[in-house]
Amino acid sequence: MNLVCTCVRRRLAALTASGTEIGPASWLARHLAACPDCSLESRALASLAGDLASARLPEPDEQTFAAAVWRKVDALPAPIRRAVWWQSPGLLAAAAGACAVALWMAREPARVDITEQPHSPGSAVRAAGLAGTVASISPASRPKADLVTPPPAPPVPRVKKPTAAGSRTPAIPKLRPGLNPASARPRRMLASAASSTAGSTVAWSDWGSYYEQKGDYRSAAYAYGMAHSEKRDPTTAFAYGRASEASGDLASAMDRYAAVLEQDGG
Amino acid sequence: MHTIAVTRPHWQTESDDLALAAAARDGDRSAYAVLIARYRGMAFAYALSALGNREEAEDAAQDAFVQAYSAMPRFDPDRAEWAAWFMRIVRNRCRDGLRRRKTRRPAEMPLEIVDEAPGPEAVTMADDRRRVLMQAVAALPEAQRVPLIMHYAAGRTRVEIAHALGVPESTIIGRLAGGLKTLRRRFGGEGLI
Ligand SMILES: [Zn+2]
Repeated sequence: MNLVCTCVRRRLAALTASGTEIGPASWLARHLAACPDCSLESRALASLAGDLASARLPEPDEQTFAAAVWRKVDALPAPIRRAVWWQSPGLLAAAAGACAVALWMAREPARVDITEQPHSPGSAVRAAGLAGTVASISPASRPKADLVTPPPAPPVPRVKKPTAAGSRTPAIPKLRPGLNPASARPRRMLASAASSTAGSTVAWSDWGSYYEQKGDYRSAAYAYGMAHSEKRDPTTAFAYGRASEASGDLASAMDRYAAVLEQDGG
Repeated sequence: MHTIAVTRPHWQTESDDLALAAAARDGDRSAYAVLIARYRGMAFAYALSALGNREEAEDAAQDAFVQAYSAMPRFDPDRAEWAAWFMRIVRNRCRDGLRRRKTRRPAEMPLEIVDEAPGPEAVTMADDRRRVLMQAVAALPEAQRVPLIMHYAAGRTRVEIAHALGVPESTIIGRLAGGLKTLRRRFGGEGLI
């Protein structure tokens, strides 16, 4: 194969892929007419593209598909489903205004207890392994937040743990205060300043924290999952894993912990 | 924020999408139903080419719509087009699906080969060819497999795929070419293609 043939072969796949017609007067067309090897290659690529185009994707039925989506939407935890309408900027602004007044009147700082974590037997080992990873995340890397309270103000600063009759509580190493989104969250909810363009909306991670503090781990896992799909970082992945574990979804929890250990936040 | 230097495809009428998304956020389910109808095919095509399993793909595409519906208040039209934002959710959903599996690569793509006037013999040949070709496609790296299936089997344009994957069109052409070359090398001397 000479240099021209090498050059032609390199172009043929790209031309086929881009659907570009080879002009009859072009040097490429002249070469293909004169070179049986390159001509064969050109026909083979076109044939391959034709074979692939003769394959058809099966299509999901439109009605069944849409019905399944709505079924899943209706199966969401109610507060999260309702978030779709009440997080609209107008309603949120009204609620935030009312709560800001309440906050101003009771602005004593909240004490936060981080000694209890939702866990299951064995989590101590994983937590010990993960503590270093999580602690290595700089507080400066966390998004700036302002103090706006969403409608259902979280009243419980202490994190409840799931009660399993007869299970012995292993010692949980303390994570650094301020780095554990569930335990270090103050009583006043934080709203992400990043969303200021559309009015302040409550960050999913804050919802996760809120539900986790209320002991609704399924909703917390869902909210952290949403936060995680928006921003993939180890902190969110860890919180997602912790809430999944507490809700009994160990498979998801292991996935998340593995992601943190891989340090890809994925 | 990643900016994609491509022209807006005909299938995407962004202002319309934004109006529908805004209505859906305020609780208008019929508006969201239009978005579902509009992007169902694209979401499913991506999910199937990434996951290689029809049930999982349908599930992932549905879950992405559910997640997008719940996350609608977080959608910022100043930062992303709705389609690009939604397809990012689809991609993340599929990534999560792959993570849960032991094997990330599908064994065979569940596509159908359409043949003209097949007799019994032709059907057998088509089946053999289908199996070998789909196994070869399934064995491609995801970066090549997804655009290849979305373009040739799902009939999506390169611009549409570029939007769906969040990359420039030139990248899609490069990946399509790479996939074709890999398949050509695999079947080079066998006369299959
Ligand atoms: Zn030549």
